[in-house]
Amino acid sequence: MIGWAIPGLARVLQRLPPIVLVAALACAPLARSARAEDPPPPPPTPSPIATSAARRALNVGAAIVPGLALHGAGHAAAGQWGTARSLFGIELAGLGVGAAGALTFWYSGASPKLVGPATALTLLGGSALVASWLADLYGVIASEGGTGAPERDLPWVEAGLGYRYVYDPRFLYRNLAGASLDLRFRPVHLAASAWTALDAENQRLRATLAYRLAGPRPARAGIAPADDGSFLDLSVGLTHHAYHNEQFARTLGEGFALGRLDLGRIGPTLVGSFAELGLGWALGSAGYARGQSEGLTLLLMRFAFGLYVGAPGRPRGEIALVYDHRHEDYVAGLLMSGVVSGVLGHFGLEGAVYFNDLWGVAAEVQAGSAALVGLSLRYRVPSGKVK
Amino acid sequence: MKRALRNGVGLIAGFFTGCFLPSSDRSVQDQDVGRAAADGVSIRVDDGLASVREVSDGALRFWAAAPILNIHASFAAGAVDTWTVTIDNCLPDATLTATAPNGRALPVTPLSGDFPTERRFRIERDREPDLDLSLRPPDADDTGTFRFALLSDIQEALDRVQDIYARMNQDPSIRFVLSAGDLTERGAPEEFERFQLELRSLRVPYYATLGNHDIASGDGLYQRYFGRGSARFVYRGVQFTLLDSASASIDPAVHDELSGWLTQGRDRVHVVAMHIPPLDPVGERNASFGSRNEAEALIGRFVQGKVDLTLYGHIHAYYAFANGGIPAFVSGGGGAHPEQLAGIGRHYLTVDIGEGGVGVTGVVRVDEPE
Repeated sequence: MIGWAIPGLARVLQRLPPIVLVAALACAPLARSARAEDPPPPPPTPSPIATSAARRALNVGAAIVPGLALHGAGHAAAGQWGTARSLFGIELAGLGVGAAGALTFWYSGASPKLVGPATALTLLGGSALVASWLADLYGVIASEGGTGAPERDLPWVEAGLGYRYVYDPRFLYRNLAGASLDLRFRPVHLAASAWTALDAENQRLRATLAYRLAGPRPARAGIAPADDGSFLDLSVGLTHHAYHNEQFARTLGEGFALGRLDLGRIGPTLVGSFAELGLGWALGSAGYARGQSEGLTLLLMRFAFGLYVGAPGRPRGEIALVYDHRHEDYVAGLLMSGVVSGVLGHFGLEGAVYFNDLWGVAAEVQAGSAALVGLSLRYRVPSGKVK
Repeated sequence: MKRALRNGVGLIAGFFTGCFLPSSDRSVQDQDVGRAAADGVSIRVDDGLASVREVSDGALRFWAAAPILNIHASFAAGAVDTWTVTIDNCLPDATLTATAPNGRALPVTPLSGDFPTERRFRIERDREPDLDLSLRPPDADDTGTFRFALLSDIQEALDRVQDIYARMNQDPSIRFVLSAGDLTERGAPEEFERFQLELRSLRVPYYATLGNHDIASGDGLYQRYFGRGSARFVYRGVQFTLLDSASASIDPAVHDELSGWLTQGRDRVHVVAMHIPPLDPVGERNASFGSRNEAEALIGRFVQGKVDLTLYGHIHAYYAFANGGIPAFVSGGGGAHPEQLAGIGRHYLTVDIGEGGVGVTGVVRVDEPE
């Protein structure tokens, strides 16, 4: 498996569409790490939006009508024209990029020579559209200062023990138990997880190694923490999923670029919210008990819009609405009748809250061709505690 | 309060069924195919291998979804004695026999049909209350090699399909056409009518499953016209299993039926066809099942069941690959908007097959000048 993985990883890097790398690297200047000589970041500018209930209701109404069509209308109603223009600009960019991808997909007849970039552009454009509208809604709903603040120093170690209930009418398993471990040292992040079914023979093992080009890292003496929660990671990963009852197993190696942008960088009313975008590619094989293995490839893509909750000294965490293009995890892809049958991935809502420096919980709900709810107990070793 | 709770549970159950079991309605509708009753006559087609188009006083009409049909008819007292049985989409040389439950053969008179695949027969039931009708071609038990064609994804090219049919008609060795779906663009009644009209020029029958476009106007319409979405038949020792994957998944009820079909096909040469393939040979595109997990589990079952050949549509090009070592072909060349830069346009596949196994497969291109 390892012998296969190394040349496979080289092929992964070769196959990442150039636009993915360009897009990912373009985010790097937005998530510059702080250095020792940098001054501490200024306190967030309080939102100047009027907070009377009636006015807020009007702004929220505008974010829906005409905001669903004209993203930023909520902020425009609130007199925040700069942020409104930025959100509208993101909407237009999303429409353009998404249309370019969708039209390429359609006119090429989903040609394999173009389908990877076409799909990536379509999903990119769709993500921008969703992010700009949700940001408009967030900005006019959230209280002054936003819903919360990001962790700017990450823990050295995070561990989790969890339970998942999965409803997939095509498989035997329903109840899963899992464990996860995250280790961070400077820009390097090693993550591993293992899930096993309690009522069937099914295991999913996963490990990723990421390098943080910019963004929050474990605290270091003499190094100021990151400005905010924005980050850019490049990672490689390996996933092995064994379906013993069905007598097949799948192993995938992947390359992935994931970036997060704290939307407070777009406008002061958006402080406390963030958008994430990740693109990548996976290569692997599926093996059958009595048949020949076959090669697999996947386009990977993740989009999230989220909020930070809480503040230093209080329970804090984050919650996000997620779209994941993976078709091979427990919930796989959406089942839809019509032209797009089989193409889309799955949606989810995930969040994690730490009650103090050490203990927290994480929860998730996902829906694709299966449904999943999960809860995890989490423990961390804060980097600020290590001298 | 109880009513609200019941409604709420019903709503949630409906939501889950719609999201995670999108083809469950169709699998239920499949069970009704081949059954009808009217004017004192009750009809049942074994395994739902024909759609019952008409049951009226003195007339029965069927659309055949397989070369061999076994039909059971029960007549109420007072029903007429003379019946005209019309079977559309029939092998041109198929014959119909009528037998009473006591084994007595009843006279069946072949009548002329209006086109090659329409067969009409007159039956004198001689007041027998029950009849077993059997439609069989003369080569039904011949174990030698025969040829069938695979043609899928006609869709918006319904008005341009005649050149494909004309090319097929030039090959007298083609016994029938198999289709992996997407006969029409929108699955609308006028499209199904047009499809039938165009099909009259083809001298052999067209046995199909449905595609994602065929259900665009709603579930149930395809079955009323052409029969089950998931079915199995045997011809000349070869088993053909057609599966409804039009919603990028296979319904659990069909998975259950498939268990029996795989067992029955294990010691035969076995061909499985469906519209959306479990795995797209171009993984990044994922014009395939929504769940890779379900896809690979299904291929694993094909491997264990010793399936010999898998055939797919949905992708408007030609691909030859393998699923777990089983030869697999995607052929979506019926004329729908083609995959560009693929080097192939409208085409169909020919497959030579028999009890000895799968022989030669060929691609017949219709987009090139002769």
